[in-house]
Amino acid sequence: MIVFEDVTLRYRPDAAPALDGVSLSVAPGDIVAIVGANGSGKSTFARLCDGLLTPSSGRVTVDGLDTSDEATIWDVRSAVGMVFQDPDDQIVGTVVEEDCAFGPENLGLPSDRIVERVAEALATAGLTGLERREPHLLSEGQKQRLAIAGALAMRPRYLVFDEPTAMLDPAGRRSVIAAIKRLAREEGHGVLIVSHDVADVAHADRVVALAAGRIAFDGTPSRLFSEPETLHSCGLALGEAGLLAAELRALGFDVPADAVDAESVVEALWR
Amino acid sequence: MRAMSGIGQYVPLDSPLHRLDAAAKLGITAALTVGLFTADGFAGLALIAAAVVAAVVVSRVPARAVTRGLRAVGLIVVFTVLANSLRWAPSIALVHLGPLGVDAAGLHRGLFFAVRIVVLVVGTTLLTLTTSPVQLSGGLERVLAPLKLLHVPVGDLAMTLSIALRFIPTTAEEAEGIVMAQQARGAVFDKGGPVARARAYAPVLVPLFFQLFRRADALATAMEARCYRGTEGRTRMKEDRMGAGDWMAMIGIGAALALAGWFL
Repeated sequence: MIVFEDVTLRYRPDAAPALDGVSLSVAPGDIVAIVGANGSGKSTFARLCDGLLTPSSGRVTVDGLDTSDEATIWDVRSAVGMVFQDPDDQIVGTVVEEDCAFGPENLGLPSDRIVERVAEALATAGLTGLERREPHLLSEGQKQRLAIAGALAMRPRYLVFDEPTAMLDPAGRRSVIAAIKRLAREEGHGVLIVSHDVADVAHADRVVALAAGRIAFDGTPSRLFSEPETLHSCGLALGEAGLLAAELRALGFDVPADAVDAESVVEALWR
Repeated sequence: MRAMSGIGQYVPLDSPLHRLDAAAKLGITAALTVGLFTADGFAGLALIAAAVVAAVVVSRVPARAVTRGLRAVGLIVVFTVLANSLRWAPSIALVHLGPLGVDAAGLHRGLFFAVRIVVLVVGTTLLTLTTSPVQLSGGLERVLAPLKLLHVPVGDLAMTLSIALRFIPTTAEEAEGIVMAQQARGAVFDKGGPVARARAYAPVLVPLFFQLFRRADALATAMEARCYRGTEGRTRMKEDRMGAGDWMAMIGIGAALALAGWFL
């Protein structure tokens, strides 16, 4: 369990807090989406999960280990895999398999176990067959899935995604979202997605909206989508498909509130 | 910028040269350099050049990737030949070009230096063309390992080198993007003399450096998140080690190259 206990973080002592008294927990197998406008504190939240930032007050623990404790920080970081927005900022290796091996190599694993983990992580991320490909020759979706594979190769129990689909085209986005869902549903990873895209949020079990560093909403995606004002105040906006679904609902059609992308609206109408 | 990208960029193929251990290749490259600089005549150079050409063929790397490196030194080669062969108002000359004359001994010397540069560039480019940056930095780390006794951070240096090589294509793409963005707003890069052209690139360098620093910061964060804490205690997926074949190839080829230079 990743547990935030009354966490406040100020980047400078005299600055307004980026995160202000946040308490929250994420269990293995959960998909939790953290949403909010720019500057709401959501990226700060992501970086607190694995001790890249430590709270000014309060406590963040990962399976009982305090992220402020220097002695166990590397255990925390191998338990929490991070995937950032721009894959080019996180790919270290010059070919796919070498990059995927970077994390396990840092953990000091023997080479046969690294090979095993790399093969497994690349298979999960759907990159088998591209082992010797250079990163700059991959599509953006493939690059982002390589970043996911790199995190997976450390066998983390939790995965934190910071705007994982912001730079992707629709096909790349679908492939990454599918990979994320599979990780939580089939592999039991605890997943935290920081995003400002309703289509990413629709797949979560739970949505936590941040506004000015505080929790402004905590509930299911369908509840969030049926509260247009909350949605708006969190800096989120329904796309055309979501707006159409809302109008259809108002006309009495049976379209669930979490149908916010074209695919799920069509699926709901088809039923 | 585009011409610069891709020089010596690793070409992933499967050839005996690709399979040869990186440390062995570093050794052979060192021997090649020694051979080239001790060779006194064209016979030695020709022998070494023949060995390099054979290596290119064996590596199966496309010729274009090899010659791309030469374009960058073209100017130096031309300058070398001209500077050595041209004389001001000589009494004897092969050819007279107005007040200038081509000196036979100078031309001979100039060509000799030019061939030496070309062979050196092709030979060393072949090293990076056939060795992935990770293997290369791993090889360098093993070659330099004795320096660890003097507290030189060999592992960190090797990691830095490997990251630098990995980011060459990314940086080239980024530079190209900035050039295009500025061209779209009317900037001109291909007019005027060399000074004007160089000056035109100044507004490209500022945003490029800004981007690189931002990227370096983000990359450092990502590396930390992936548990990078220096190379102490780090293992490698492919624990490269010099096999008997690698040793034999290195000593055999290396000695042949060095001796070719020494005796011919």
